[in-house]
Formats: sequence, structure tokens, C-alpha cells
Amino acid sequence: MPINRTERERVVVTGMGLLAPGANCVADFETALREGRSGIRFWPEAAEVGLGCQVAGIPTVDCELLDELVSPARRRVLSPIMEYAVVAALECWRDSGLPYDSDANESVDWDTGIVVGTGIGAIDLLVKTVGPLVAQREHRRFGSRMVERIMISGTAAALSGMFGLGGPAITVSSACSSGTCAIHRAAQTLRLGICKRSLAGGVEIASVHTAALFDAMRVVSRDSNHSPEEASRPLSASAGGFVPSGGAAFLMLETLNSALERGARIYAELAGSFENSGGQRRDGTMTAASSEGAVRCIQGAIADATVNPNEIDYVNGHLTGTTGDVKEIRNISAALGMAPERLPWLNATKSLTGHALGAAGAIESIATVLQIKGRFLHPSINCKDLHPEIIDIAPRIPMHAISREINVALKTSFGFGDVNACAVFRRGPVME
Amino acid sequence: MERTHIKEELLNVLKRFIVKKLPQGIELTEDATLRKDLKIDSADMIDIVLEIEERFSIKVDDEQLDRVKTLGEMVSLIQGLAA
Repeated sequence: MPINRTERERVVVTGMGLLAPGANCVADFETALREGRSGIRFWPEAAEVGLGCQVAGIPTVDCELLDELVSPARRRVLSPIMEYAVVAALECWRDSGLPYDSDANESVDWDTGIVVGTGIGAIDLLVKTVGPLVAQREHRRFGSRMVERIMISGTAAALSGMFGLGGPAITVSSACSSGTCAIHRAAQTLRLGICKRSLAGGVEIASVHTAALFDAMRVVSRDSNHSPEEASRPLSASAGGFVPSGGAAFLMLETLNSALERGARIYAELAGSFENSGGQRRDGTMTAASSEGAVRCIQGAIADATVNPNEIDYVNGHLTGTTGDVKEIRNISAALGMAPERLPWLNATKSLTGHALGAAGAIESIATVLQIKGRFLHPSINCKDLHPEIIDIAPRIPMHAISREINVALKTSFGFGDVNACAVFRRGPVME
Repeated sequence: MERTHIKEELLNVLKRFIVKKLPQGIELTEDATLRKDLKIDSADMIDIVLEIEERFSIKVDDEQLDRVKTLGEMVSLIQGLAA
């Protein structure tokens, strides 16, 4: 397909699907956002292995739904991380109004691709199955279907096979910015004319093995094991680290022309996006974002969306509940050229969901789109004791849900490796 | 173990793995070749053998498997190992 550079392809969101802590679908997630309902619970498995953080956000997979909608042959080989992704992707696909009766039809959808973001991948399978069988010299028992369950591209491959996708089916991994990065990359395939639609999102399994890695770094919340819903405290003075969680979220990104042609419902427009790195130089390290890198990324996304900073009504922050939160507020302030007290409204979805690593950016992008469409802002819970270094932003943080017209929203995501991805969503065009 | 029972169990296993590929109306006689008639590829064979080993509590080595070309030969192999 020829690339038309004279007029940039507009990209819109025509479907969403999600599996998050405390929310099995998008409608449930919206209710949780409006109610400020935390999905964090006590995590017995973490306590059993002696982790410092014994709370987490663990989604619940509806196995009956999978049994109903996925053929037995494919159902047998779905790993836990794939199950998360299939639940979310199925909801997204059907929400987009695209037909699905089974994964056994013979047609190929040449116009649709998929980009999946993930940070860690199928760690539980490696630890619980691959390691022990190899050690016991029983590798034969893997059969022919283990590679596809372990390979980092396995989820994208499984979903591509389920829906018969003929567009690019790829995986991106940029740590905690993976979900937003996937959205950015998927939008690029649309703008380049490679396909008309793309599932775009992220998935991460909630695993004690993953949590143990962060526990060893002492970057997770350890002081709220007896009050799980208070454990995730982005922006607060008493934040003690993030809360590990898992989940999956997909947006259907589609060219505006394709959406209008088939009469698809449009949730919002992905007006622009950007990704970069900070090079782990100056104040950037493997685990902390470089200020200049973060500022450039935010400004890059805003420029890509051709909006002015003062048009941004709302920021959905990366904001994890670590020492990085204060720096992120300063970076947003610098990027938008606004003093903290003049910033747009800002909240931290992770205060409700915990940190789903590779899935976080996608879960939070759905939260952003829901707030645009629903004309509300969800509360950022557990931050009544705002960090003293950012006390000036207090008036900009909703402590309970409020009604608000949001026309332009910025989503920020930053990951280990000093990698960044930001997106700008806009109300319209042609919305219900 | 009775040959009829073995064949029935084996067909149950095969159908799970190859039902999509089986040409319509094909008769699963003992002469049916595994690769050409039943379209069982090498990847399928790995998983089918694992399933058979579990169902019949037997162990099939690669050399024995290489000599099996038809459904009937597979039944005979299982019958021999399960005895």
C-alpha cells in the first residue's frame, strides 16, 4: 500500500478489553475507577516464600469463558500469561464490533495486526516446568508446544492465530513502558499504511518469582501487608514502593477512515505518541528516568499530537509509589512549562491497580480513554499525605471521583533501562 | 490388553490432535498411513506419543516409533508394550 505523506493518517480507538486486579472487564474497571476501588489483596503465595511485600493485584481469569470461546486444541496450550491476554483481547475484539464465532475459521484478516507489550513474560512456566524437567532429564515431556508458550512473542503469536491476523504480529518489551510503547508502535503501523487496525496493549503475569526480583531490590511496598488496599501509595509521603500486580489490556487502534467506513464506535482519538530513552546518562540510570529524556518524550508526544501544552486537561501518570514519583511530577512540570500548581488534573491509576509492569501502560491508557469518554476523573487514592516536595500540586489531584470534561489527555510511562513512552488521547472525532 | 480397546483409545487421541486436518469422510482403517492419509506431522507425532504413553502407561522409544507407518502398526506397537 503506498504511503501517503501529505496527510497523516488519523488513528482512533474503536474497542477496548481488559483483565485487571479487581476488574474482569472494561465496564467493571470503569466502576472501580469511579468508586476508587482498590484491586490489591493479601497475597498468601508471597507470604509463603517470605517476600517482604505480601500484597498484590492478581486478576481472576474466567476459565468458563475461555472454554466457551477458545477451541479445545488451542485452549490446551494456553499458558497463564496467554490466558490473561486472550480474555482481554477477546473482549476488545468483540467490543470493536468485529465478528468472532470461533478461532477455527479459515479466513485471514489481512487488515489487522497486533502489538503486545510485555516486560517479563512466561516466568512461571520457566521456573515451575522447564527448569525441573530439564534437571530431571525429562525434557521429552515438553512435547512440541512448549516453545510457543515460552517464547516472548508467544502471546502475540497465539492471539494472531486465534483471530487469523494477517497484519504484523509483534512483541515489544521496554519494561514498564511496554504497554504504552505497544500502542505507539501499533499506531505507526497504521500511519504507515501497513494495516488498517491493530490490537495494541500489554500483558504481565502476577508471579511470586517476578515479585521476588523486585523484593530483592527493596522497591516494593512492605509496610501495608495487613492493609492491602492502602499499600499502593503513589505521590504520598509514606509511599514505600510499588505493589506488584498482573493483568492484560488491549485497545483496538484503527484508522479513522476504516472506522468511519464500517460505522465503528469511536472512544477517542490517539492524537499522538512518542518513545525515546535517556541513555542512562546524567541523572538517568538503569532504574531511574533521566529528566531530560522524560521531558523530551513528553514534549515529543505533545508535538506529535500537534497540541499545545495548555490544551492538556489531564495527565495519567506513570506514578508507581516509589521515589520516582516526585521526579516525574517535576519532569511533567518542566515538559509542559507549568508550575506544579498550574498543572492539569493528574492521577495515578496504579493507586488502585498496583503496577502491572508490561501491561501497566495499556491498562492505564484504557483508564485514560474511559475518563475522556465518561467525562470524569478517578481518585488517586492513598495520597492524602502528599509528598512535601510536591505539595503544590494538591489542588490538581482528585481525592475522590469528580465530573470533568477532558478533551486532551497525556499518558506517561517510564521503564527500567531509562526508556520512555508517552501518548496523547483526544476526545472525538465523531463520538457518541 | 484387547486390540479393539487399544484402537478405540488411540483414535480418541488422534482425533483430538488432527480433527482439523482430517479430510471429510475419511475412514480410519488400520491401513491408513499416519503421515499421508491422516496428515500427522512430526510436531503432532511428538505430542500424540506423549499422550499415548500416559494413557497406556508405556514408554515408546524413537527407534520403535520410526518403524510405525500405519494406524494398525501403531496399535500393534501399543499392544506389545502394554502387555
